[in-house]
Amino acid sequence: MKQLLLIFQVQCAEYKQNRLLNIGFILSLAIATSTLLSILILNHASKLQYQQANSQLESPVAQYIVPKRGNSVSIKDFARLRKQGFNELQGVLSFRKKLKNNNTVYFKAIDLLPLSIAKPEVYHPTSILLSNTYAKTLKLAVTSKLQLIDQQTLIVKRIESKLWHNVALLDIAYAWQLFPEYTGFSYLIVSEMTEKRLKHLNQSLPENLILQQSFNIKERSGFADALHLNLTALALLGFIVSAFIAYQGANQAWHKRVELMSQLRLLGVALVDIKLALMFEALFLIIISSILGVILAFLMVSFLLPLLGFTLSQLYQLQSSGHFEWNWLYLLWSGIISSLAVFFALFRQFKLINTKKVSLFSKQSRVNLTHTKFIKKLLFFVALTSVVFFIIPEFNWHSIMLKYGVLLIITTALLPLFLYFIFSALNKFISRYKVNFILQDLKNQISIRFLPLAAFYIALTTSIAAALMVSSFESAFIKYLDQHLDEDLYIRFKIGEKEKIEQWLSKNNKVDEFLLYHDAKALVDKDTVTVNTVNSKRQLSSIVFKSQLTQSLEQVLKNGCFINEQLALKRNILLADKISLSQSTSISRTFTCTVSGIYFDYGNPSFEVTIAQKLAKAHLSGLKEIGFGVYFKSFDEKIVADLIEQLNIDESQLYQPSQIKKMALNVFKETFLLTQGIAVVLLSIACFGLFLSANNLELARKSDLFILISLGYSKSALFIHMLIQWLLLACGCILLSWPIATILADVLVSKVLPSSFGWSMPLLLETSSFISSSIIGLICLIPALTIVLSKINLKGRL
Amino acid sequence: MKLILTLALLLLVACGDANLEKKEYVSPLHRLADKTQNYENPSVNNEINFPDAHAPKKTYRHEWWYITANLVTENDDDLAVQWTLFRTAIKGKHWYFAHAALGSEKQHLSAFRNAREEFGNLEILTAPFSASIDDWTWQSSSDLLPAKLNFSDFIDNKQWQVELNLKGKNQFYLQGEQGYNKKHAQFNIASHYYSQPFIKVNGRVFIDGHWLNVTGNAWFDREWGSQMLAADQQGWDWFSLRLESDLALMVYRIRSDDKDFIYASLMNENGDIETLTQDEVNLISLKQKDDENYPNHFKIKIESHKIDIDVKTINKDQIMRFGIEYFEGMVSFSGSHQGKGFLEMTGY
Repeated sequence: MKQLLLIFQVQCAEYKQNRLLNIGFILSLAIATSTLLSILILNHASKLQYQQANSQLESPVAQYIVPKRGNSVSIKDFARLRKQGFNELQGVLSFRKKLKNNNTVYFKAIDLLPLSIAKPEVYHPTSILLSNTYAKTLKLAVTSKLQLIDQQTLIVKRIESKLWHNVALLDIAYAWQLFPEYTGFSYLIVSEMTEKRLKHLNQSLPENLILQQSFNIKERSGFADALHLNLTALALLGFIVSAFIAYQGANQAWHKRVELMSQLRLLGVALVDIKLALMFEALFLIIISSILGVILAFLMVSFLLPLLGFTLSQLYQLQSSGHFEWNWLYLLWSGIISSLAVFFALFRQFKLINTKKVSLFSKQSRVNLTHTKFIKKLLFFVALTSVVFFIIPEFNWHSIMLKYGVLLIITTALLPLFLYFIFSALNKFISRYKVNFILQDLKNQISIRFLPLAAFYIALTTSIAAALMVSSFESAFIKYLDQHLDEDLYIRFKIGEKEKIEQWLSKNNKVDEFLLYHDAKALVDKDTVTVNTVNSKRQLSSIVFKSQLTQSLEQVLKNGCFINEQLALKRNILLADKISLSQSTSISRTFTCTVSGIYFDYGNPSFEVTIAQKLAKAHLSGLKEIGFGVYFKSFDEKIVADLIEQLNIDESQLYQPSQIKKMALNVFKETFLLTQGIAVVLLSIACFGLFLSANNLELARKSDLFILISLGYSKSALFIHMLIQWLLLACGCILLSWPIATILADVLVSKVLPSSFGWSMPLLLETSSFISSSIIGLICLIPALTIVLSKINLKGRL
Repeated sequence: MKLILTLALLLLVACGDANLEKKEYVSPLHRLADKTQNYENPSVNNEINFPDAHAPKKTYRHEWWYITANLVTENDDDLAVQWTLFRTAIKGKHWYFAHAALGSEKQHLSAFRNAREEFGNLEILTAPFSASIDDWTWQSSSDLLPAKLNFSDFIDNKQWQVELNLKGKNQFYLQGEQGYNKKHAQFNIASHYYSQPFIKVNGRVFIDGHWLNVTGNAWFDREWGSQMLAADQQGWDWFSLRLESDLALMVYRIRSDDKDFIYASLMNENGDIETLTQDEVNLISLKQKDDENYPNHFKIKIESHKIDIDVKTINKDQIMRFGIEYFEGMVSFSGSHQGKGFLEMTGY
């Protein structure tokens, strides 16, 4: 017991004496904990954000029931359908009136009673509700009244609302009372129902009503899932990063401690007491580093996100809505990793002090990199892991990530050799003595500095891969939306309206081009595909091709077809292959075409084929005309107003792709921020780890630095000596990390995505990701080495 | 210095959070406590006459038609059925909604409908009484009974359905003082309330993919008023227990921050109703686990009538969640009397 207490006193003295060094060890371990915690928390937050993104992409309205001819759905028809059990239907009345100031006001009437009961402070069943934004748009003379052109004056209640920013909202029964000319509903909205029920509803509809699909970009919902999956994959790599940082921190800590313990052993202190004391210290390190890691993770998450553009209230929204959850399981994982790293490193050192040759380890010598045994061990490890790499199959995203995680480990193991050979090559070409001395000293230091460099390399590589992946997602998505939604207006028409709309579009001189969209369903082998049609060069240019045959438009329109990537991957279809489209109608129809192009269809979980309109009409039945896409010479809101006015169609039949694009990009904007947050966390960890390691290692070799001082080095020369060495090492790591990061990012977008979702994305190699990440890593070395320099007293004892 | 800076930063984040608006959840049940000026209030002087009492009372703010049934299938399994049609008014407009449930020991299926007379999907007629909301119908062939009750819904693409024949006398028990039922000891908060607890049921239910014949007992309640709760009252526990074939017990406890208000009555099939005083009824509620929202075990003791029973819920998941959350489910009781009944718990 006395001896144990003595050892504790020695340990405490060591902490007091080398404060900075020991705090550095604790911080290294804390960083390992905080890395994993931050990434897991951000990943969790992003998962909930993606779920929100998905729900925003999906329209709450699955279908519309619209009258075939005439302008309303009668109350009788509505009641009859509800009595048949279709309680998913809700009626909407929308109409417009001209104001005295010649502006047009759009009214939307819904069943406002439930909202009036739930939120009586906002909604009222016998008031017209007008948002402040809309009132401004209408330029009302008196802000609390709507003065119609027919002298009718309506009192309005002003509300603050983003939802109803472009309509005057009122209860339907109140609308019927105020405007007796309206007696029914404009249309019925149908919320999500099963295919079977939808079919039943369709069959139950009276002759004068028809079901129409609502326009949304729900098929892009898979995009959010894909982004989250890739982040989860990166989070798994975060495990490797934090394990490495923990191990290198622990190894450095024990390296110094065991030197001391070896000396105590030589002085006769019992081995069992030494081991017990070290175990206690290990527990102390794990507990302190876990607590510190939690605080660091909290600070990182709380302060990092505002730097990325989150306001505090947005952060509060995420917190209060449960986005950020402190799951104790995360703490357990990070605690386990720290503990494993600490104890594994400790047991390695136990082996050393357990031997009879303990006197040799009282001052641990460096491993000579040219030592045959070390190189053999390294090459054996690389060979073994390479075999593992080639053996692992790629049948799902977990196995793919495991495989490329192994690749990362292989390159990490090769890092010292890579650095050694680069510096040896530089040695050969540079003749200046001082530089050669720096390089030779550096070559001798590689093995000692290997662990912090490896941790920096892994963190940097993962961070660059994350940044590349996010920028690829972002740019591909923006490009896709820009190309795919390039028309100015999309018009959905009811039965009987097509001809008048077509006439209007033909005569209007502001219209540059308009296209009629069709779709149908067919089978390719056993897979159901949606068939889209294409009829012009403009339509063709809106398709984002992955690969295509060099053919003229005429050749394509003659017998070619394009398929989406999902179908190509599922059925292993290549360019120039022939596919058969069949339909199981009363007359069995089959049509064969040559695959002229395979296009990207990000986020779409289903299969698509696009063929020329002529071919579709000739060979397929059930071709539905769904709407017009219109390109204007110059587009403005007045055209929309004119269209509604002159053709007497409802505003809900018009969609502006630019607004949909804006909505889609807004939906993903915040999710991209979170993913960038994860990339920044990884990079910060890499830099901080390197900072600490540089600091710790240089402080640990103070005696070597004193030798250089005694040889005439000034402080600034010493600083330059250390800086150049670390910069060279860091540059060597960066040089290796760039290609590996590219490979990892490519794996994420071109293998993980198809494996899980059936579609891929092109990798965008954006140099800013490489350069900014690398420069930040290098810059952090300067303060680390400055601290070391400040600790060296030139006049001190050698 | 560094420690102070860190603490300051942490404090900043915490203060930032505290300054932002915090949203609090307010149960819709508290709308029943809203003071109303534009609606009629129940009065002890109002006479309740039949069959007029079955018709909607639109001068009052709230009302409901409520039926609960304890059924037994041909396989001797217990089932519980609930069907309620509600009306609530706002600014002279009337919103109708209905809750329906079919429960067994392990399952609880529930559904919701809403309607407005203006939209044509609600109709209530009297003489004979009929009420239909969308596809759910109550069709009487006389004043109120006998009647056919039909309702159904889908869950996860599977249909469930209830078709019941309700038989009983058109004999109604006026609760409280000739149908004027107080809700608070001090304040003038009350409803008009009558019951018919002796209804025989037969019919069939479609559950788990097949039809099952059922028989059992049902209990009908009808209540209307304009303010159903006082500000200090959170909700109620309501028991409908068939003590014997010709004896039914109703206990109604309205829970309060100050003092609970208990109303109870014993109804005999011969038409007699005895109102019990608050002091006569001893009601204790117990929870199996502290973290459960609803009690699942009660003790009811009415010494004057030698009633001492333990009431336990059969399926703790019989919770309705359509805007307002409440428990409505079958219970079994034992002790001085044995049998089955229903329990409703609101405001937890």
